[in-house]
Amino acid sequence: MTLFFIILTLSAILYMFIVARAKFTYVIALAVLLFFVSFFPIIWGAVLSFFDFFSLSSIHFVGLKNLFCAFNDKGLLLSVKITSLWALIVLLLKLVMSYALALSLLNMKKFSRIFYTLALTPWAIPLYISVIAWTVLVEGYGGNSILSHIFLTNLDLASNVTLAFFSTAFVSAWLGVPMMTLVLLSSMQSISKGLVDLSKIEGLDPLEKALNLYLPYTLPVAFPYIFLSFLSSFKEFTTLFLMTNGGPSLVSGFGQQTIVGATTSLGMLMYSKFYSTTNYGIIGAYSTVIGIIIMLLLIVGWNYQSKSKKSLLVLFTILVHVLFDVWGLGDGFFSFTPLAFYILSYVLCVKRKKLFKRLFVMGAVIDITYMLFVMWANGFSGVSVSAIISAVVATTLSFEGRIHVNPFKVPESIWKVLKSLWLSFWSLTVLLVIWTVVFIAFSKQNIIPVEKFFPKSVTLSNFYFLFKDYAFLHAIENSLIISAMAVLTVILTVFPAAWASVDSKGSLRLGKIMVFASFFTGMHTLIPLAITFRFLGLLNTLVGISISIAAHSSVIAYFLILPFLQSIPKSLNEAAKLDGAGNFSRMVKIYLPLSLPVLATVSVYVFIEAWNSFVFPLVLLDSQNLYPVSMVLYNFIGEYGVAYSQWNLFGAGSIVNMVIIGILFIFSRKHIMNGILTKGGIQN
Amino acid sequence: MRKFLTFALISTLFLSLGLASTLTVWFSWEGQNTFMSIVKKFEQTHSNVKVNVVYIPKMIQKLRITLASGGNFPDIALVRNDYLGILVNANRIHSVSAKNVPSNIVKAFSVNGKEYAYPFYADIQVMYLNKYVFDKTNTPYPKERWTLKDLESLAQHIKDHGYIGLLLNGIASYFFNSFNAAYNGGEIPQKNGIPVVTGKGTLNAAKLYNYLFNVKKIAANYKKMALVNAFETNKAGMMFMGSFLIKKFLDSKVDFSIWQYPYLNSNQPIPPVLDPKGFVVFKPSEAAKEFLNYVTSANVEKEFCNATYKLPTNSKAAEELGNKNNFFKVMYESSKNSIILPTSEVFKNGYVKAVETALNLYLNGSLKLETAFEKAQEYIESHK
Repeated sequence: MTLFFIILTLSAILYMFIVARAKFTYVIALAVLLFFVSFFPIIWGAVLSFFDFFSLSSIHFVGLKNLFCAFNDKGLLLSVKITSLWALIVLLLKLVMSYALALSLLNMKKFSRIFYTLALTPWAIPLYISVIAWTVLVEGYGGNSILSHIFLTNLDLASNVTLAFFSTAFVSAWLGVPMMTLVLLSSMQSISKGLVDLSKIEGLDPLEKALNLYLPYTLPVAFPYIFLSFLSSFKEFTTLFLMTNGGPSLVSGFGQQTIVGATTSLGMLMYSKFYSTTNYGIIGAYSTVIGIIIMLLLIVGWNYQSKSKKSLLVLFTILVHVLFDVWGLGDGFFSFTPLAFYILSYVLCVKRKKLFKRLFVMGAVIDITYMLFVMWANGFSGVSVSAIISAVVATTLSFEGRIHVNPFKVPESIWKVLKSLWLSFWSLTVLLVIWTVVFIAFSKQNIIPVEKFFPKSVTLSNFYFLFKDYAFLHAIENSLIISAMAVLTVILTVFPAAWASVDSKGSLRLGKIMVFASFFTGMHTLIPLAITFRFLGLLNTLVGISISIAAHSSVIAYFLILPFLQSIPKSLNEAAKLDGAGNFSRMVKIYLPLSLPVLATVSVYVFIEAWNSFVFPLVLLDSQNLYPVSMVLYNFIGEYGVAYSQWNLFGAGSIVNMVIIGILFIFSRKHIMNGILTKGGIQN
Repeated sequence: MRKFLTFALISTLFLSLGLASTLTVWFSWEGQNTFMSIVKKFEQTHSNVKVNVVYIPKMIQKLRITLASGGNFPDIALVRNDYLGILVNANRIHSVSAKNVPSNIVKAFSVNGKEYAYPFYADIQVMYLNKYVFDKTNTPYPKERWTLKDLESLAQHIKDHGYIGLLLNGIASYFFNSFNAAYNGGEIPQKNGIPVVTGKGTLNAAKLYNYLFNVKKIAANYKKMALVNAFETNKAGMMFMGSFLIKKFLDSKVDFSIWQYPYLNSNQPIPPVLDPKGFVVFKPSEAAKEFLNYVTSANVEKEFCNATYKLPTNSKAAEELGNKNNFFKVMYESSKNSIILPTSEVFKNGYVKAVETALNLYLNGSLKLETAFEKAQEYIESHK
């Protein structure tokens, strides 16, 4: 315990230095929340890596042994490669689907309400429901799925590497489309009407409009969210856990130290480490190494924002490229070739802008081509993380200042047909997921829907047993308590901190810490979090769950509230100051009433996040009477390939859950749209 | 007088509450309601002990998090025998001495020669037969002592009628252990406590899997959820599975029967895995002992197992229940040929994942048999 208190004290001192220049009274609540949920678990995990730690009473200092073990683990490197490729595919799918959806919805006149609702629906269906519904549709738990009937072959997520990899990527992208679509719609509003009219006069077809107008103008604005979304995919756990549990097995992943499957993301790897070792020092070492990888990626993303200094972006891309190459995450010796192009591009960056971009793109093309060639020969081992980063940067650079002409002009009517087909496809995916759940919920038999469109015999008894035998009402109560407490915590901690940040650089620094911390936390910091919570008496409590969720939702909440507060005229503040109003009085009497619309948006966002939360209750709760809806539903199905599934009860519970979230969603849709589709939304 | 009586009554009440010790028990797996009613009966007859039962849906996760975070353990917890290694190594549980338990069960709950649990019940692997499919395909039911050859011909017959002959989770080490043991004279081979998977017997067991799945194609290799789904929806004739499903299938009105595992040949049975659960003691006390003696007594075990279709570990209860109906009879007879999995950490942390990956890669043709199991051995060695 002594070590724990020493680390706690030292981290608290370090943390105080970081936030010392903020307006203390207003940021203290958020600072304390972040310290215990994000900052300290990260530090504790890092310190733990220097010890063999079996329990708090069995600790031995081992120096760098555990870190060496993690750094040299080929399984970890393979997992990083798989995660990078998977995250890139998720991002591409998400971008393509979201752009297509946003462009279809933009200026839509007929049925716009219906299609907006269908576009946002995946957000309203809790993750653990939609992922399981998708698994039913893809695999059908035994090869009898809709897709297997269409393709006339047995689809097995446990053995088919390509199917497992791409279907998990598609489902993850599908889940992220609603938020991304909203962000893109928001950024599209920043395009001047004159430009849109000009594109019409010039006779650009939809593809040319997308490539020459919407993409170049929205990409820089939406980039922060897109990059954050890419990094979030790096930490993805739930989709992979529920759909494939990290499998299928790979020859290259059958290592001595770690076994990695085709969908073993870094989150999955940490989860399996937790179950295969009792030395938590090793887990700490792995979490530190993963933190370093994410930090390197974050450095590249951070420099992208500096529009005027492209040289910094290129420089950091080169540095990260070299580091990954040395570490074994790049192209090995071949890296010298693309690196030569990048270095030349860096040298020319200030003086010859056109050539600089061309050289960089050429380097990235060589990088990616080589990677694809090696992948063709060696599978996932051939993935180069440095090539992927360079390709992402090169893609964004190549859209700046170029005119794209579509050589295959097609009539307007074809575009209309394509748009209708796309919208129908999207609607079909949403309706299929809902139908799957409805089928199961009303089916008398405990089976999944494949053979017929309607169940053999219909019953309401599943709902009856759900409430009678499984205390589902109690689970709803728990979810309500968790969600309400999370909303309250976020409002009470984030609003004062955001208000203080309006005119305080020190407070703004806290915002940056939040962004950093949110990317370092994940599966790998849950054990240090559990230790911290035990110390605080929050382990296995609803309060513990709600403050964890609040801390993780606070990043988006902060970046929604801050621009809104910044958009309020400063003259109001000045006038109140002249009237003698103090800081607290101005915050409560002027800013709070004016911020009610954005606070309503934040409340809805946090409520849905908390209601849908799965990972925190999975790891931090262990008493059945504390389980929220998500855990009760999960227990009906169990993790992939492990338990006896009670499909009909899962379906009934999912319907009840979706009705609750649906009602909330219907009432709050306007607030969500207003909160995000404003000038001061995410894009700032 | 009235005042005195009231005072005396209140004092007695407070005194009895103060003296009553409270036991916290972590309970998991099936039979929660039955266990709660047993606890109630215990409290009625033992007024000095209160029992607080906490249902833990995933016991291993709870135990690991509690260990990692230095959290509080209960007085007693129901665990599977293969969790013992982790708890003994962490020095968190106390040795005990259980009575009226067969020697194989005592061995299952022993680490380094010491007993660490009060055995409560066991699940066992059996063969499920789908009566609907058997009737539809006019397939004769197996003989009492049937062999792998009989299994093969029955599965082929069922397959010829358009159904899946046999369902088996081909990559779960949990099922492979039986075949591995059958080809190794009835035991999972180990050397100095480390499982060995490169021997001829283990490779032959894997070859049998390949024969069933890929050569004859009379068996379907699904994960557990898919297996159960296929069986419940009458798509398959037979299924290797744990006895814990009996109650679920009976409740779901599935038309089925169970059979003992077949013999590999005329002498060597394919031993099903016996999956025993028992109570470990984190905080020893008289109250804990009293409670454990009560719940593991013959009558109470019989009551619990009768309601949940479990096999009692108490010899007397097992014998009495063994004749109750065909389900208990098959479970009881199966237990006589069964094997119990090792309790070592290397078995849980190394062997299981290594064997599953090797089987997966061998059966889907990605690795040659010998290479797959050599890699598995390397993984096991590095986790000892």
